[in-house]
Amino acid sequence: MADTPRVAVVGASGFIASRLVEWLVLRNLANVRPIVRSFKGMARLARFDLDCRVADARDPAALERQLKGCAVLFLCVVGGRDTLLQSAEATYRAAARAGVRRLVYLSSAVVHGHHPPQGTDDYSELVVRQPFEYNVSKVMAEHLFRRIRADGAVEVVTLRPSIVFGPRSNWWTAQIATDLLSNKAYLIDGGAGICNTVYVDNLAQAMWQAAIAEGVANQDFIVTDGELVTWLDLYSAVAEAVGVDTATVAMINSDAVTQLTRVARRKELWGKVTGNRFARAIRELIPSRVVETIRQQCHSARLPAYSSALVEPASRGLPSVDPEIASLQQCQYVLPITKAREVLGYAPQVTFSEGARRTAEWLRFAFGVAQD
Amino acid sequence: MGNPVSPKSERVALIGCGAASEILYASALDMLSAERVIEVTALVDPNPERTLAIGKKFPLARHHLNVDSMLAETAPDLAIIVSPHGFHADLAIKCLEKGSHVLCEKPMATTTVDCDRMIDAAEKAGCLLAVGHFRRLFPSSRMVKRILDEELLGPVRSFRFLEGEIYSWPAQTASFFKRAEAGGGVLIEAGVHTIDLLLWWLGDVAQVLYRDDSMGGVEANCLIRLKMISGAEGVLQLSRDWSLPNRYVIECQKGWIAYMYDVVNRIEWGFHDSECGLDAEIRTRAANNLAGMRELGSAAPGFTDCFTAQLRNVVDAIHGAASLQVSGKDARKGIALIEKCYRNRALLDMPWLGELEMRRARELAHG
Repeated sequence: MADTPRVAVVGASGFIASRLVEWLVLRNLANVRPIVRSFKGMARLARFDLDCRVADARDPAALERQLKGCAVLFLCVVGGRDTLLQSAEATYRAAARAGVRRLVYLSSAVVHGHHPPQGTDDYSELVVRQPFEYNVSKVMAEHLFRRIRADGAVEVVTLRPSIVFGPRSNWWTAQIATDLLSNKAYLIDGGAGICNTVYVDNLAQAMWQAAIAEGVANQDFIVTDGELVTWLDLYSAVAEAVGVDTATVAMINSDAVTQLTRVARRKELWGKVTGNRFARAIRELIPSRVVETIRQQCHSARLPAYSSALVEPASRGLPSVDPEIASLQQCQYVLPITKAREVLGYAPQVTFSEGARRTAEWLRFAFGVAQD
Repeated sequence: MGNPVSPKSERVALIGCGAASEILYASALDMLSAERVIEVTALVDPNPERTLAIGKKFPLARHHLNVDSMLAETAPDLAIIVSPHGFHADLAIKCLEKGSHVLCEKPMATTTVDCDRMIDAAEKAGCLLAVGHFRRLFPSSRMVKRILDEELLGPVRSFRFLEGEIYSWPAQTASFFKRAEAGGGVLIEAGVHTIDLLLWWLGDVAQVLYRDDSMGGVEANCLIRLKMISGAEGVLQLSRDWSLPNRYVIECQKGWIAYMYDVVNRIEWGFHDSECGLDAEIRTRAANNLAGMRELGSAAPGFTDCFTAQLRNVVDAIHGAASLQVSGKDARKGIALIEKCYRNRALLDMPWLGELEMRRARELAHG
């Protein structure tokens, strides 16, 4: 390990970052220093004998102390807008003072929107006006980096992964499995939308390339598996792993999505009304007949009569639709990784089908079905 | 001067003022202080910020940076050890040698050698040594124990315990993640409770096969296959890395019984030949109603009640009014099994890793 570079992984306890740490250690590529916000974040990382540190990524002074001696920093902090922006600025400043040469920032392909137009690539202008808070925050963080990296103190390489799946992924693996098992999963337009997956190991490889490649400073890269994968492909892979027949998944026509998301929002609103003590107190003052009418309004699926045929199988009933997931599932564009291949030297090592196999192995273990 | 304290109040020292003291012990001790059952006279922690944090509840307690300083001043009637695992034995022995009774947080120690030293010290001093396996006081775990002991569902054939969650304990130091201080990972930290219940319910172990995912550090996942002396066979899977179903299911000859992790007042059970089962709420036994018929009363004690009850039990045992619920000798069995697991550990099968990674993982796992 003496000849390997010392690298810091900030926000190391999360899904992608903890796999990056594991991936680097098991390949003996780097002397890894994970940095977590609190001691509890060490639990997964402590499987290895590493020099794990604690620092708040929004605190440049605390971070600077923990970054001393590191040549590269991977910034993988997750959180809301404030956390993303504060950690971006603080980490850059701390890295500059600590003498870090390169900062690899984990952004997201959502900076191009959920439905990137044909021709979108790494150089396309970021989509500032988007309906989802997370996407806008990621755009703002990239803009912030462009501004602060102009001083040249630290090289910044930005990666934009899309749908990251694999062992320990909650959103694109475990949650899909849970939804499938609890009959809550759905696919828009038969799952024909483009999924733009990236298996977590391929992303780790891209992150490593971003750390070591020459001539990539201050550049941005889209990262996917580089295959044509649909949402049906992803859901089918997870469904097979947990023994669910994909034929039982609700298939929703995209024409119905607007109505269904409206219903979902009404139900969410009703949940807020009933879950808040103050709101409950107000409700006590309203005649029960009126309350019941509001409740029915919130819960009724106000789909036009013709649209009952838009959900199949019909016996499946109307699922609760998450607007972000529904939006993502309607992507029609395969994001290109030409620049990552040519400039970064990224070559995905794990095919989608092999990633799906490995993910299935983990799912069976994590859901407690792998012992016999 | 504070409020006058009844002569029966036991003077208690809380040794280690981390998250467990703050979240669990402080409120229980506060309640018993209000009842004049105990009086917290000393708080010990190398970090003065931690004693100050706990000290808000116990303004009369003296603050010490280490146990030697406390014992030089006065030995408490009862020392509660809540330090990092690796310090349990030495701290307990120091207190026992000064004549203090000891309640030691789990795990009792990280090795059976240390367990034996603690038991010997308690015997020599004529003091009590209790261990904080308070889940044995849960109405649900006691109900399982009774059903199994009485063989209401027939003898045990097999079992499967799956317990895990993404680690969320607000640890105040890194001690839980260093083998030298913690003795191991999820098995000795959370799993020692599970193992204690398993041994209490199902008896001693005949054979054990153990695998975990430690690769030079401490494990976040482990899988144990057990064959009990009774002949029952089963699996225990633990994780601090991912949420598992958190159910312990025991299959008996005539039926099955399920204990849900940290669900204090409910068990599930059923007969194998019945399509339905019972979702059973545990409530207190009430006096017969006006018609002279049996009825159940209020909900059985909850989590906090059970935690406090273990402290009451130790105080009652000091007064000679009760025997200890879990003594050092009882708790040693769990440490012996954990020690055996670690001694014979193999790397967990992780087929989601590549071949090259597994090769390196084996190198790291076996040093």
